[in-house]
Amino acid sequence: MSHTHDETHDESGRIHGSSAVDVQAPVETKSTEAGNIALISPEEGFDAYDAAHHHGEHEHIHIPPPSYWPILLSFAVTIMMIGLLGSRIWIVVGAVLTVACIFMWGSEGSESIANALTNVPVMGGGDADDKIANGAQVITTDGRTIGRITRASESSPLVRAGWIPTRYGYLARSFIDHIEEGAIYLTITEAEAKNVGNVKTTPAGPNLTRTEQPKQITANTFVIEKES
Amino acid sequence: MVTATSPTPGITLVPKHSEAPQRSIGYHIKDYLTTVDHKKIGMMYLFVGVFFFVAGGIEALFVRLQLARPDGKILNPEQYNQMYTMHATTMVFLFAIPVLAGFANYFVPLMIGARDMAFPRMNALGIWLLICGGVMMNTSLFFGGLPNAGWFAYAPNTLPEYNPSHAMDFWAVSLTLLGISSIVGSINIIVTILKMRCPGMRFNTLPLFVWTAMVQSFLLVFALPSLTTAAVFLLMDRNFGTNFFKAGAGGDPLLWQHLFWAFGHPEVYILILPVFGMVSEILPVFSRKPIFGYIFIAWSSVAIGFLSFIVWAHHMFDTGLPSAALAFFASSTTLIAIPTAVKVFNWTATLWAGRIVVSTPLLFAVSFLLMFPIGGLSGVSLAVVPFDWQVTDTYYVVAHIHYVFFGGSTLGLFAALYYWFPKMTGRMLSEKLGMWNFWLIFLGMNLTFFPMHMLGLLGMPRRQWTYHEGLGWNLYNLISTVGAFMIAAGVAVFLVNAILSLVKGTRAGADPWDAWTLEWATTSPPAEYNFARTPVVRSRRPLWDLKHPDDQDWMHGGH
Repeated sequence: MSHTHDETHDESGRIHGSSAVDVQAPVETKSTEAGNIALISPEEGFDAYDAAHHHGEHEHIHIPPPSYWPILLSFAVTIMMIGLLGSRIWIVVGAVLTVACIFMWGSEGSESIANALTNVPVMGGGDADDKIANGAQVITTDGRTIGRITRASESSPLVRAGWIPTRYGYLARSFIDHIEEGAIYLTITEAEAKNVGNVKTTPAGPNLTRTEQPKQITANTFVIEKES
Repeated sequence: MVTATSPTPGITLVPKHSEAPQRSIGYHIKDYLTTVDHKKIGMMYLFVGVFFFVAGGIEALFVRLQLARPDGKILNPEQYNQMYTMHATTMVFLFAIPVLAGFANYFVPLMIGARDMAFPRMNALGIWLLICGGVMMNTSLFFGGLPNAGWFAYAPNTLPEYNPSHAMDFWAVSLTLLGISSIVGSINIIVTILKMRCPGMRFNTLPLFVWTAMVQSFLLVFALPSLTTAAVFLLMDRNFGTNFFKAGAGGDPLLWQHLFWAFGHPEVYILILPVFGMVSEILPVFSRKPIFGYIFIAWSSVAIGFLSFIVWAHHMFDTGLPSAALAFFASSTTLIAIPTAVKVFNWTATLWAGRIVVSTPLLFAVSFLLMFPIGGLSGVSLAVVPFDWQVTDTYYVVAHIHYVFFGGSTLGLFAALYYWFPKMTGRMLSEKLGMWNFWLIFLGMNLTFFPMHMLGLLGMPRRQWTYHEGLGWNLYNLISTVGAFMIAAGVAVFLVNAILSLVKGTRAGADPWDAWTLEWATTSPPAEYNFARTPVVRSRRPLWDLKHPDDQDWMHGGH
């Protein structure tokens, strides 16, 4: 079996051919034995297909949280090896640090709460991404803080709870009600959060307790339309 | 129009295109220090590898300057020993392995439809151990000089009686760290490929780069312990009074050679197998044909992997091996040419009657196809024991290894850089600068390394500091040095190309080559989670299937 076809390539080297879909062409679908297959734009890839056909509902996504322990463990192992070249005390220091780093690494949790975050309403307008800053509190409907944002990301903000052991989890889009300055308000209670993510909670500060429903929701990444 | 339902009733949210938010430098530093994302780690491997490629290249230029003319005085003998030792060590352990690990880290999960590696934090440990090892290797410059015993560091030259500085200690410690790093990374790649393939991706539909990355990882897992053991033995001999390699105390210097080459020859295939995979991805796309002989290319990689473990003593033909051992290792070395030739014929058949799209990745891939067999055939000639006795430790061997490592691995890596740069950065590399880059490198490498065959046959020993007039070596050495500077110019053009393209290169889009494997099915660069939904594949060319719903590969009974 051999599939060949005509093609050209532009000055930048990109290939355009009969198997490439016109960049300007709208996404269309064809029905085949394999189900609905989208012809995608080369500019957009599978994600365009996904957005067109699944209305932004992402499947469960678990990508691991960042960690300081790999780099610290590599330093500890290196210190231990340096001990072979000089004072033997560094072997002991490096060995202790190595064991400590391995222990801390092992103590670090990696629970995935759920999906990537998209289309979140923002109180008072502004960019949703700017409001999800590191350190922002994550607050349940009963006013409890279940953790803080440790890696702000529009696609997958990461919540950190506790220190030893530290628990991490990605915030589920479906659990987020709205965002305010310095805080993310969830649609679930502390008990429900515990069931989902097994995290400890602390009382929220009074100024961060939810007191009202969002009245004005704008965001420069989203156009808001009222449902009819 | 794409819409989503808000958790707040009565509101529908419609995404608009928006630029990525600006982040502070501190954010990015912290991000890279703590990242476990396979793509960022892959980029770090590539950056480290390219950095050391430049460093190792500068060391090579010093060596070539010293040898450009008879009675050279650019370096003294000790500095010369350090330069060629660090050049080879850097190129093997700090350039080639990291760059290949970088590509594997970045693209294996994407090509198999996974979100990350199986052990993301171990992945991060691997890159940081590599960086620590690289720093350690070069730190010895401040403690009495760089390592100076050649990249294979034969005992007893490395023992304290003959090498009293700390340089070889740094070398052994660094190699231990680098060994741990590579083993950690290799286990990760193996488990990722075995356990994290997307639905429908069987071994028979695995991209060929993934096949070769898996075989390479197995080779690393089984070969590296030998080197790490040897390095630890050397450290103990030098620092704790053991006698593994001291002949006068009951040890055996040849033990080092066996341990080193038990790693060292699989290492040759460790450095070339993933490049075989890269070329197997690139040639079909630019020939507009499926790869010819997928099964043979995949399984010949496995055959090479097995055979690579039973050829190590061809590096030791001149050490007085018994006749039976000479016969065995000569035969096994010749045998390994068969699966390698199978690949060459399949790549040629892939190009045959294809609709060739002449582009920089293709030029580098085709030049690999032309240059690598020269190194392979000179390798077969070295399997002939009497011939090996004549040319061993001459520049003929240097020519052979450089046609394999440069004509093979490095040209293939340039092909891969041009092919996958758009996916990693979202920008196309300039084709115009790419052509300059290609011709400078291609002509430069042949000028540099081909005359070395003649130098070897004329009897010029490798690792020789200088030579006198009248031996017939002058012209070949001068040509070789001119070629080395052409290569340097070619590398400089590549670096300029990469920087300019990152700043103002043409936007690549998701699939600039109209390619067929899964990495081109997501955005360029990919999102942190790679794919919003896990892909489901039914053939070796899932993106072809997606683009051609009426003519999918699996419909024809193919893969």
